[in-house]
Order: sequence, then structure tokens, then C-alpha cells
Amino acid sequence: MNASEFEQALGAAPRETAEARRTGDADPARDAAVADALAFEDRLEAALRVAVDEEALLAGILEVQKADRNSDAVSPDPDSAPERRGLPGWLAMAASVFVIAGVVAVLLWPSPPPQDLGEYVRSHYLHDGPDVLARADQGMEAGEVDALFAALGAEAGPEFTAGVRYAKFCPTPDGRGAHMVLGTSEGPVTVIYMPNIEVDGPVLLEFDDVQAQVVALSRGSAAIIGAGEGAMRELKTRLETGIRPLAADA
Amino acid sequence: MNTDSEKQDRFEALARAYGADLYRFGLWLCGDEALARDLVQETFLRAWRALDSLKDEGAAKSWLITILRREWARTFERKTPGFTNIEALELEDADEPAPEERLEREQLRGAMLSLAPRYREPLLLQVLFGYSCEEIASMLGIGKGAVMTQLFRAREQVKEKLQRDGLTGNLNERF
Repeated sequence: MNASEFEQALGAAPRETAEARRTGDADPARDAAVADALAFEDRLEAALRVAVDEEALLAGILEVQKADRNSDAVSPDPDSAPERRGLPGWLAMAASVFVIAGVVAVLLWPSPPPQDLGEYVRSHYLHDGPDVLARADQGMEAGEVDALFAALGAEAGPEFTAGVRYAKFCPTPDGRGAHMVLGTSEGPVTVIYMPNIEVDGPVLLEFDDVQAQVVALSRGSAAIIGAGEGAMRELKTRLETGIRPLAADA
Repeated sequence: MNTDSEKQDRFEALARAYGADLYRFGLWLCGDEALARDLVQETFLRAWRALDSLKDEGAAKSWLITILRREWARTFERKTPGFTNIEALELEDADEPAPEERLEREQLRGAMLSLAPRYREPLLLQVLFGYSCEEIASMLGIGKGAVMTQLFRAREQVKEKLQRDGLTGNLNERF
């Protein structure tokens, strides 16, 4: 290897080159160059290997994975559906009546909001709410917002989409949802859309001086977090009229 | 132990082993801490869904990096990330450097983020993950010679930027 090749190799792969030199001829000039290059590598690596809160990172990874697992649990895979076994006709009819009665009872019975909904909204907002809020100035293109809602089985009207400053998928207590920042007359506000969480009516939440409200939508619900009274009213209307189930799901 | 819990344990072991390095890789790719967290979460979500296809545990690291790179490419397709201001990043060192070292690291980080992606990515794969030029070439789908050229130029540009930004003197002596 001539001097130029050595310089190229050292600049491209200092550690590999240093390793290769251990079995080469002694050459003080090259040894010094290797030592310089390795010192630079150590500094570069120290600069890039920033501290990471590994437990918080792991918690975030597992939170998203858990939401996906739950989502799988409520969406049976048609390929793995259990084999049907025949029932006698009279028993099938009785079972049908029983099931229909049960469904009617469930539909008529007011279901309380999930007990952990408040805790979810609180912990999710505290987890990355301010970070996401800070990214509101990035802006979102309408196509990105449409694609996100379509993946959640919903669609948003153009007026609603125009007000979305930032949006990303996020875990919810039941499957995936959307963590959004919406522009309002009072500034950007955090909204978490939860397509599979039903509430009967507005649910008021308060944590750490932050006020939030979970509102019922035609599909699922949405938590509006940290909005003033005016922005809260404005967003409720926009969410109720702006998000609907995808036509095929309606 | 049933299959579900085995799969969960396997997934958590991967997240523990590679999560932090993937986060750092994502961070230096995109220059945004929150986006890097999203990239890592999405990477592991995709890994979870395809975990059964990972037959060789020894290939897990490169498999996860490939998923993250694809996810980043998708993000890049959807949106061109804005200019990254190194001062906007709240980064902590893993150790406790002296004040002059801390300044030097900030300048190195700024120089790293100023590199074009085609130079930055192979350098990250080499420095953070310890991949050889040949392995990087295989991951990026380009020749080994091209990788070596990119790595050489990447380091040259980092050093030039440091010099321009105030680390004057003979860099070869300093480093």
C-alpha cells in the first residue's frame, strides 16, 4: 500500500486500517497517523453516542407494541378463524335470539367511559405532548393527514384537514390513534383521536394544571388537551363535524 | 412458557439490546429527538409484526437498521425535514466531559448534521454500529469502493467544518 492508498484507507476506515497495521511493518510516520486518526474516532464516537433514557425509550416502544397487540385482539384475522361446528336448528335459533337480545341490551345500556381513560390521556400527554406541540410549525400536507385517517378507518373533511398542523400515529388504550396538533384562534392545541374508544358524552379531565375534555365522535372519541374555553368549543365542533368513519366502515 | 410470552420476551430483548443505538442512529439521520423516537417506535412496531420472519438472531441488528432506514426514507418522501439547528437539540453526554471537550463535541455534532445524507449515513453505520466498509456496502447496496470514498469525504468535511467553525490549528495534530 503506497502513501496515498494508506491515507485514503485511514480516512475511510481508521479502525480497520489500524487493525490491519498491527501485523504490518513498523513505520513511525504511519503509526503516528493511525494514532491521530484513532484519537479523532474516539472524539467523534463520544460526540455521537449521546446519553439515552433507555427505560423511557423502551416504555415508548412497548406502549406502541401493546396498542398494536390489542388492536390485533379486537380484529380477528380471517385466515385464523376457528372452524365452525354445526348446531341443531332449534338450538341455533335460540342462540340467535339470545345473541340479538344481548346486543340490544348492550346498545341501550349506557356504557361508562373506560376507567383508565383519564390516566391514559394524562400519561400520553406528559410523555410527549409538549414535544409534539413544539413541532406544530412543521405543517402537514393534506395527503398525509388523509392517509393517516384512512389507516385508522376514518376520513377528515378538507376544512378539518386544513387546520391540522401536525399529526402522527400514537397508541391508545384500544389500538392505534392519532396524536395531532390543531391550529385554533387561540394557538395550537393537542388533540388525541381514539377511533376505538367510545364515550357517552363529554368527559372532563384535569391534571397538572392542564384541562382536557374527551368528546364523543361518530366513530370513537377525541381528547382535547390544554385548550381555553373558546378553543375547546371551536375544536369540539370541528372534530364532531370534521371526522367521520370511512364510507366503507360507516 | 407459551409461544406468546416467548415472542414477547424475544421482542423486549431486541428492544433493550438495540433500542438506544437505533435511537442515536435515527437522531443523527433526522436531527430531531421526537422524530427519532417516532422512528424507533415505528421500527420496532414493524419488527414486532414481522418477528417470526427473523430466523437468525445474529442478523437482528442489521434487520432493524434496514427497517429504520426504510421508515426514514418514507418519512423523507412525505416531507423534507426542516433545517436542523444543533442548538435546538437538548443532548446529554453519556459521560462528564471537561468544558473544552463539551464544546468540541457540540461542534462535531453540528458538523455531522451538516453532512449530506450520502456521507452521513455510512459514517453513522461505521461509528455507531462498528460495521466494516464491506458490510456498509452490502447494507446500502453500493460498492465497497464507493463506501470508502464517501467515508473518506465525510471525515474530511467534518474536519474542514470544525476548522471553519473555530477549531483552528493543525487538525491532524489536534486529533
